[in-house]
Amino acid sequence: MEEMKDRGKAPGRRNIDERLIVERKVEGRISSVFGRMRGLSIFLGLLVVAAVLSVSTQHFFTLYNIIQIFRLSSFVGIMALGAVFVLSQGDVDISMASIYSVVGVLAAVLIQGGVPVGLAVLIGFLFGVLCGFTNIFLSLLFNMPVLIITLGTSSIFRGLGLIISKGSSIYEFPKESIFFQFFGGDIGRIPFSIFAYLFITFILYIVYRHARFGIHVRAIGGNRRIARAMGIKLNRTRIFVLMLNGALAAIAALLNFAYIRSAAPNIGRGLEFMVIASAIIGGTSLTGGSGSVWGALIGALLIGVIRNGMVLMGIEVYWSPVVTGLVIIAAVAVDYLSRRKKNV
Amino acid sequence: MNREVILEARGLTKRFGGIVANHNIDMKLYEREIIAIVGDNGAGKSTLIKAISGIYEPDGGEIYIRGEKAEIHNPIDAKKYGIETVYQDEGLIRLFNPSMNLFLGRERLRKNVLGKVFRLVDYKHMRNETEKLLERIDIRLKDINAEVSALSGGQRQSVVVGRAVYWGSKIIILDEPTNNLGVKEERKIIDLIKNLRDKHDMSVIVISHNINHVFELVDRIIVLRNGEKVGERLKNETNINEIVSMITGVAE
Repeated sequence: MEEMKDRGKAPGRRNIDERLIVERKVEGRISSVFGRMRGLSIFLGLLVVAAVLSVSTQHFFTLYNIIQIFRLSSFVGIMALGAVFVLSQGDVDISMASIYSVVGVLAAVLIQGGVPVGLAVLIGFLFGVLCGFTNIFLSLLFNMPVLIITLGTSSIFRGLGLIISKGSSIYEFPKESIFFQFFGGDIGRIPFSIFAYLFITFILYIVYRHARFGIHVRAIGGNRRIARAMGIKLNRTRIFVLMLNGALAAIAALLNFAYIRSAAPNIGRGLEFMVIASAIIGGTSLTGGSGSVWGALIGALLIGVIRNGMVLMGIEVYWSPVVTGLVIIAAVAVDYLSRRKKNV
Repeated sequence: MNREVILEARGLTKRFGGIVANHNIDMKLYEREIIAIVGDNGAGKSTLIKAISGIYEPDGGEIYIRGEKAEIHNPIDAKKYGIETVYQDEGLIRLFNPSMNLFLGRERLRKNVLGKVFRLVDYKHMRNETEKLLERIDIRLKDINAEVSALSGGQRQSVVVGRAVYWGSKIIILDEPTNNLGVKEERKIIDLIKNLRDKHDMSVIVISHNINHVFELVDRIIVLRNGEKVGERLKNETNINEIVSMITGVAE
């Protein structure tokens, strides 16, 4: 298409066009390198960081440490799967860390109050789904973006947790239940939460890529107007995605609850940014329309590895948010550059 | 001519506040015909088209499809009557490939349990159908699995047109189809439009301000000016000067 510009122009004009063409080519080269190698590059990045840490610290490359990284990443990672769907749809939900905290607290308080563990966990799960539904319901009701609504609901949900727990941690309740032994324990040497995480990732990968629902989610994020014009049911899909996001936050919370056997209203503060960053590092676009489920797993692991590595290297824990933030910015920048070429 | 009247508008009127965009417009579209609606900016061409395709509801007048009064209150109604509108290369999801765009909103599920229970789509079937369709309309793509953002504007437009053909539209409206295209692509879209009439039994309404393309392409020309229909000519019974003077209102 650049050839068309040359039709019968004055010499001065032609120089400007040529410069634009060269600039466009350089831009395109940078962008397409990032774009094409995206899937591979994040995986390589993970391996490189892991390799560096293995060499520079004693304890990184031990089975125990690797398992710890994976286990801790699994909670963020499960929520990152929800973020993949939400972002792909063109929405942004920042309340999942709050849902994470209130679900744990709710289950704990119920158990403390004598409710059977199984029932308490189920109620907690359903409450998480309800939170997700509330987000999209309010968004549709007031015709406001989900992002704006969740600015408010993230405070509200966490606030509910504070109210229920009266501000303190809850750990005094019977813990013999099979819930804690099984879901919070290991199968062999591997924590159950890792199995759960991998299983959920696999299922959601199939849904995202191969189910009609996943296609509709991406279509809505790609171009909402055209998706609607072609008969895709916008509201139904968006409601389901936000409820899924709430459910995944609840599952992460309950798995975490099973493992640490206590709940606190303040856990997970700031987790929403790591969750969204995991999704973006993994290749999900902030603007919607495309994403990667397995990529979000790599992204969650990468963040987990970096945080773990900083601890092992003796870096002061206060640096952790700084480094995490830098990784987030780098991920967003790479995402932006790799999409510029395609004009999407 | 004993051809059937596929679409007829009688007395279509549309106002926007104090402005009369369409006033009392009558027009007919026969089967297997290509017509052009021409006029200067603001003449009322896109308003007329939007009334037919359900985006606007007219303030006065009626639309008949094959002789029966049509209730068109929104674009979905228009689709049910077989009316598709193509706005150049809009209408596609850029990050999807041609076959996903072809089946957008109508994805085919797999025949087995995976499809019935888990609602997984049958990519292979959709891809095969897309290949067959592209052959039917004589469009060659380098990579049928590439995102449509990698295609040229003209190729994207062909995919949108192809989608209308595939899903059985009978009436297709093309808004400025030859804009922003290179010379080769202009050729291709003109040939494609002619094939819509000749090979696919469709009736076509073209909006264009390129009089040369109009004369190349259509059987009949309807001229609008200031919201009114000022004339209608068979292509063979008129010339560019006459049409231009009808558009501008200035006699030669």
